[in-house]
Amino acid sequence: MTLTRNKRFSHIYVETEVLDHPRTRQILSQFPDAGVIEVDRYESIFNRSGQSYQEQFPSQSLILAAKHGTKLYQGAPVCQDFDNRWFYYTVPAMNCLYNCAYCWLKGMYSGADMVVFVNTEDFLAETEELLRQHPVYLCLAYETDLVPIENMTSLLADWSAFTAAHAGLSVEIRTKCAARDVWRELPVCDRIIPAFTLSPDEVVSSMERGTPSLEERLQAVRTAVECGFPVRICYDPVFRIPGWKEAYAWLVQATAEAVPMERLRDISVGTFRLSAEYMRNMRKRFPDEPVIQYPYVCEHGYYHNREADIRGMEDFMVNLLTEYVPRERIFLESRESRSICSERTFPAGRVASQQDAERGRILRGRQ
Amino acid sequence: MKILILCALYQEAAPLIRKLELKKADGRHGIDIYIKDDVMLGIIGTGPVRAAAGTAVLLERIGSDSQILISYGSSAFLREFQPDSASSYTGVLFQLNKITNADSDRTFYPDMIWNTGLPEAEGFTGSRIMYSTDPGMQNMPGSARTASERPSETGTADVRADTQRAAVRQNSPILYDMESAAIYQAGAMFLRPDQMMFLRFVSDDGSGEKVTPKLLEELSTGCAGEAAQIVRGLEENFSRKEHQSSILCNEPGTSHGSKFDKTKPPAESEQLQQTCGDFNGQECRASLRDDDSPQDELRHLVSDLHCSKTMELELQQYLRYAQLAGIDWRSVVDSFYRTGDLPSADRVHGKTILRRIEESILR
Repeated sequence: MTLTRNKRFSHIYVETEVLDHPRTRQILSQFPDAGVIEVDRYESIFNRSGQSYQEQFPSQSLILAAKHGTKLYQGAPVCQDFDNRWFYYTVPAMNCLYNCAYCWLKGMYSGADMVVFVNTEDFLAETEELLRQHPVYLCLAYETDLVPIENMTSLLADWSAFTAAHAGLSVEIRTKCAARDVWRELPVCDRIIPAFTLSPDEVVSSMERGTPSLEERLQAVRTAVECGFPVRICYDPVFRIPGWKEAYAWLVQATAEAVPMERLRDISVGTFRLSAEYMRNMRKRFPDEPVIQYPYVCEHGYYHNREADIRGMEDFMVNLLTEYVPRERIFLESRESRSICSERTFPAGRVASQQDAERGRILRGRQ
Repeated sequence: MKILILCALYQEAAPLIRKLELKKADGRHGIDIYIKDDVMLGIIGTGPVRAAAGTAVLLERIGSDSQILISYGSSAFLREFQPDSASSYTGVLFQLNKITNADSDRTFYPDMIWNTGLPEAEGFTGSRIMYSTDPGMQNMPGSARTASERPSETGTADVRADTQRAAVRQNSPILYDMESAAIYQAGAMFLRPDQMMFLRFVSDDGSGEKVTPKLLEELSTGCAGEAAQIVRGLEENFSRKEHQSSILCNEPGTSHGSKFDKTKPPAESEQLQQTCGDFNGQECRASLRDDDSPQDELRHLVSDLHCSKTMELELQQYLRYAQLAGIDWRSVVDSFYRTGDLPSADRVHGKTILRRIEESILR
């Protein structure tokens, strides 16, 4: 007889403070068989030392908590801001249902459990406060993928309704999820930007574990476009896998065949980049992961491909994409960002309180 | 030794020893030890000090082989805190999902990754035998009584929160023992949170009734079957994992994480020599012996390139990646031996060759 593993979210840790929050009740009602464990603060379980991502991920626990302190962070100059001056991001949840081999969250967080902050009303209040000062461009899903958990959390529904009602707010929802109903149900608004990360099948099957196939994602892109959303496609990161040119040429072609490219808002292209601290953590935690053990160059506190390789990959993608969209609608990982990085250091993000302070100063190379 | 079981008293352990057919082995520091195959059971004594010390001694003895620690023993169900709970939990085996050190207020959370099928409970560990009528227990951190008696700051919301809290508590009895938190804290020096499991059967409800050694053994006998099944299940699981791992290691010309194969789980190896552990020594090299171990192979290459420490680390990263990605780096290196570029004349030439190795691997 072998012992089976507990299923994902078989255990839900709930902060005492939010035990009676409506969103907590809503989420818990969907897991009637889950063991519910009361915790004082989410950090006491999320930031435990010595956790194993590999062991935890198949039995990932859910943590429901309240977010305190700053909830909106100004994007770093090194982040791709799509020419938005007031570029912010927020963290309604931490960690992800997907298990992408290259995901920087694995270097930033010590475990695989997922945190959902249920006090959305506080996030919205802070956003409203900021909107009184200036317009805001806000990324909602930098440290998670909100789309696959939307049925469970309704976070996107709340954010979308709020966005539609506030003219100065634009939100980006980055995802690898192929769920189409989400886009049919959210209010259509030209300031709600679904941003789909697309990768060749080779990358999806080998590195983006648990994510939908390229074909499924393309169908979701098409649905979002047809619903009227200003969709962004992200070829980010582009990997220098064996036969990468063929793989990415095919990817662009498949995109163009499945999606009306002229109706896309824009396209983002980037290569893998990661802060040195996170890379050190990931190399230690995932010693047998080729994409992590690739001999990247470490410069000014972050790892990236060789300069010539970056230019080669970006130029290759741009050449392919300009067949379908004007050059000005293609955003590259800012080359300036690398010079900005030279003036920065990239601190560790080992505990949530430090992470809070460090957000906005960390180069992101997640999707 | 992969599974370490810790019990405080012989009466708790005896039924499990019989079920698992463990045999007495040489003890140490007054800790009786019973062993069979990959399972070791140690009787570490009662109280947090002996529990922590015994845990540390045995984990140190086992070393890195230890894959899971199971703490098995008795506990009191604190009825006083949960008057609405079931009439009796005596003789029921629970798995603890939360453990609070009642002395320090610190709470620990073992990962709940295995489906043991057992009901779950919250554990409190104190340094002395306590009864639920003890005045000290009224202030026990996190106790339902303490929470419900806390002054309400926001009125009705707190009442609702208390209702929800009571609902959560209803499904999670509170058990009291004198070892769990200490074992967790000592165990955490050696193991991860997913490598510790706490099983507690209820011997009394903390009302002060006498728990005799005979009763303890009887109650443990009723739970030892379930505990033994969990131990055997884990044992089976670990040996299966080990078998799969050894199959992967023995595949010639591949590695644990061969090129972009998502089905293969990452192994625990850290060093290049470990990821290169499948080297089969068939290639013909000019200066490296066929029977070189991967470590020797790397050492010879470092020497032949006249590597500085930085170059050595760089080379190690190239080879590690090549190995994982299924790139035949040995052919690349061999070609330099054949052309006479290796061994290099000096470090300057070595750097040139290192760049060419890099290009060959990353092209």
